[in-house]
Amino acid sequence: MTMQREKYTATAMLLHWLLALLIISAFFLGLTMTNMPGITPTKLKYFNWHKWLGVTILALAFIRALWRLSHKAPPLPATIPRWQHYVSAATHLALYVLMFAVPLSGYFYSLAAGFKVVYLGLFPLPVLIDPNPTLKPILKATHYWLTMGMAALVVMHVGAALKHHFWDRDTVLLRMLPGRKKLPG
Amino acid sequence: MKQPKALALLVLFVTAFSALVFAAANSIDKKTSAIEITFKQEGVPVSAKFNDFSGSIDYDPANIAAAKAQLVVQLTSFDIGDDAYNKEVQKKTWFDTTQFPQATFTSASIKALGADKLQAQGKLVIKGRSQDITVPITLKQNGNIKIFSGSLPIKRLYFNIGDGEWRDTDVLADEVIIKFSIATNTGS
Repeated sequence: MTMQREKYTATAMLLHWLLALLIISAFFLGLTMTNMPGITPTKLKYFNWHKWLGVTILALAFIRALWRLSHKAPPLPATIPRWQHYVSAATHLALYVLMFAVPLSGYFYSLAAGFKVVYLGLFPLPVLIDPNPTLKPILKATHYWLTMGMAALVVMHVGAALKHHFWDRDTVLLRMLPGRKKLPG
Repeated sequence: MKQPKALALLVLFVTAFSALVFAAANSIDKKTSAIEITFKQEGVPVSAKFNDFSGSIDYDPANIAAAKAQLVVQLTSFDIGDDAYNKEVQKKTWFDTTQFPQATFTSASIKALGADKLQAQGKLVIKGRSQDITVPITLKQNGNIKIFSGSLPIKRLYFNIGDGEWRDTDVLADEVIIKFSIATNTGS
């Protein structure tokens, strides 16, 4: 019988927290820039930074999905009821899907609007669709609602982690935190 | 008293009519012509076009010395594919179309550099600023239809396009490339 790890691997933790930081930054930058009045150099800069963040998130999500598929997640504590296992699995799967879907919808929205994406202002990324005035509003709405759906799931995800840590006082959150090698009971 | 007046009127009509025919013979066919610009915004190439322009190109290979070109572009017809941006560029910071609704090019001389290569020299006027430019042109002839095409890099800041905080060329490059394909039909 193979020993199952109690915690996530260091790589999984790094990818998780790095993506958490980038996703939250992209989210608030997106809200800020779309609420800026008029057209200013700062606004255009924010749009570009938002796109670069999105592309970075997409690339890291790809690496993370490969890592997750090749490394089993540590088990949930035995105290957790069966139905919560399912909810947890479904939430995590949805978050993984959205880590791809949100940046991709934004990427295609930018292309449909006629703005190619040049990563960091240096590397032109593939122009997969031509400017398309019909698709533009559809992709805009798709990007917005997928983002809001993801935000709701993230709030739930964070809420659940905190509830497990401070209310149930179990090891759910500790599995994703660096530090002590052994987890209590 | 009556006759000279009628004669004057006749002369006026004939001149006006022949001017009209003459203009029509060399005037630009807007439907088959295009004027586009490309610029870089933080490294991102962005294109836009002008939907409304007019003018004429008189070009007879047998009489190049008489060749001339005149082009008027309605800056209000700028189209980048987004209403908010289209409105923005009409403002004082950009084209200032209330004061300067048109950009013009008037040739001073046209030279033939080869069978299908021409070079036009002349004045480009945008936003009240004038610049002497040399435009390389490729000519394609298809029956009565002549197509003059080429591209011309200009510096937007010379014409004060994108003033104030937009003078930052890290955000918006100074160079703007004007691409044109102008068709005239001498047969119509």
